[in-house]
Parts: sequence; C-alpha cells; structure tokens
Amino acid sequence: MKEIAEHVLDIVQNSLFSGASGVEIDITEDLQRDRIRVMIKDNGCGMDEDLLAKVLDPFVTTRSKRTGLGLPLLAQTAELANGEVKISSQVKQGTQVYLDIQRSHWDCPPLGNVVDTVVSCLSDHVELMFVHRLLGLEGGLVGEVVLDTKEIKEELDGVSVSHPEVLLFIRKMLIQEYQRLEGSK
Amino acid sequence: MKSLDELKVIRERAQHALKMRESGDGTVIQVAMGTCGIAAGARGVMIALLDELVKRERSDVLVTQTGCAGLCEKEPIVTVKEPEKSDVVYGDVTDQKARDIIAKHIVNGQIVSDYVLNVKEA
Ligand SMILES: Nc1ncnc2c1ncn2[C@@H]1O[C@H](COP(=O)(O)OP(=O)(O)O)[C@@H](O)[C@H]1O
Ligand SMILES: [Mg+2]
Repeated sequence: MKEIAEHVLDIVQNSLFSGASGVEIDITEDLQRDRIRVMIKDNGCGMDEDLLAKVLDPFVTTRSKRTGLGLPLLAQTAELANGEVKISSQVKQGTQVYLDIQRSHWDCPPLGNVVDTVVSCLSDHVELMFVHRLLGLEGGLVGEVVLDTKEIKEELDGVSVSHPEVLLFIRKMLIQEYQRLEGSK
Repeated sequence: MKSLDELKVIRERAQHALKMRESGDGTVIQVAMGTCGIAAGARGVMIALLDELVKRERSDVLVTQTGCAGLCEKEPIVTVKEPEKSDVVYGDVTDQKARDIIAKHIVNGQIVSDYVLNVKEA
C-alpha cells in the first residue's frame, strides 16, 4: 500500500468487522531511534489460536467478499522497511496489531492522509481513541495530536459523532493540530 | 477553548434540525473502502459527500464507511440507501461525481443514471 494511513484504515476495518465498540489507534514517530510504531487495539470478537497462527498468510479470510490480504500486506510493508508486525488476540476480548518499521527506510511508505482515515473510521459510530506522537531525544515528547471521541460525545449531548457537520468539524480540528505538530518537527 | 464553542453551535443547530424534521428521513450513504489500494480515493469521496451535504443543509443524511464491496475495479463505490426505495449503487465515483450525487439524487430525488452500477431491490 502507498501510505501507512491506508494500512491503518484497513486494520481498523478489521476491528469494525469484529464487532468492536471501541478502537485505539496509536502512532508514534520516534525521531531519535528512527522508527515508526503503530498500534491498533480493539475490543471485538478476537481470534482463536488456529486463526491467529495463519492470519499473516495471504488469502486467509473468514468473510465472504474479502480478500484476506490486509494483514499480509502489512507484514510485507514491515519486511521491506526493516521492521516487524506482531498480533495478539483473545477470543471475545479483542485484538492488538502492532507495526514497527524504520522511518527513514527507502521502502517505508509515507504516513499519508491520517486525518481522513480517522474521519472515515469515525463515520462508523465507533468509540475512538487516537494518538499520534513525536518523540525526540531520549524518547522525550516533542508534540502530539490526540482525539478522544468520549470527550467530544460529552459536548455533543445526544448528537451523533457521525453527524456530517461534526465529522467535518473534527477533520478541521485535526488538520489544525497536525499543522502545529509539523511545526514542532 | 474556541473550537469547543464551535462544537456547541453545531450541536444546537443539529438538535434544532432534528426537532424540525423528526430525526431525518433515515437516508444513509455508504462508501466502500477496501484493501484494493483505492482507499485513498474513497476517503476523498467520503469527505466530498460530507462537505456537499453540509453545504446543502442535508446534515440529516449519514455517510458511513464499509469494507471492500468485492468489486474492486469499480471502486470507489457509493451506495445510497433510502427508506422504502431500492438501494442505488454508484461506481467509479470521484469527488466531483460525489458532489453531483448529493445535488441530484439526495437534494432533487433524481438518480444520476450515468454513474449507476446497479439498483438493488429493497
Ligand atoms: N481485529 C480483528 N478481530 C478479529 N478478527 C480479525 C481481526 N483482524 C483480522 N481478523 C481475522 O483475520 C482474517 C484476515 O484479515 P485480513 O488479512 O485483514 O483479511 P480480510 O479482512 O480481507 O479478511 C479476517 O478475515 C478475520 O477473520
Ligand atoms: Mg482486512
């Protein structure tokens, strides 16, 4: 895939399919160690050991109409960019997908359109906790973008987060936050 | 915080609109975005649909994402689901076509036959 953000959308779609009501997306750019780490965690149906053992093989899918390529493509990106994918899962509890790659690597895809990925995921009524942080020297925090739909829901008093105006508002807010983050690089 | 004030205004407007319309007419627009590598385009289509709905004061219509529809070569695919009508599936949707679909189908009630992939009986 051309963007890390496309992988994120794809992995979150797995979470949404799994019936998750809550998803956490955590992107960390570690400038000093030259790594990008992405963690996506859900509270969906999870996978048993048999399925978990083979999900990185191409064309393994439990759904009709699906390709079974999402996780294998993620593993491919990791392999190309000097990194790894780790997946853990507990039946009826949830799944955690973890990607760790070399940031400056020739084959490390650009982050891409993270904002519109997050907005697309939000259209699905899911409770989302999104964090994107930049770490500098000694792992110190240089800057971060945080979105917690719980906080937004409180302000909304019954109006849905997936209301078109709310989604566009969140998008505008995230774009502004990212401009601030870029400034701190 | 200034941005939260803005959210309050949106909330009040949305609550008012809900009261007027008795909670919208239940129309939902689905955007398929899959592993087809066309996700980039599909996200843009979703934003264009949202933007056009807000401009035309049809925020009662919801736009949601869904997984790959299994018709990768026709993505981005947009399905308009109106209550008590057949679902209309549009293929090869661009940002501009997305805006047309809102203006013609949602606002004026006319299916944009040029972009239709198929119509599924309700
Ligand atoms: N978050 C998750 N929760 C539960 N099952 C999952 C999750 N992610 C992946 N899976 C399982 O792994 C399979 C393969 O996932 P993937 O490679 O993305 O292909 P696809 O989504 O096309 O099926 C899925 O069909 C599903 O059974
Ligand atoms: Mg998948």
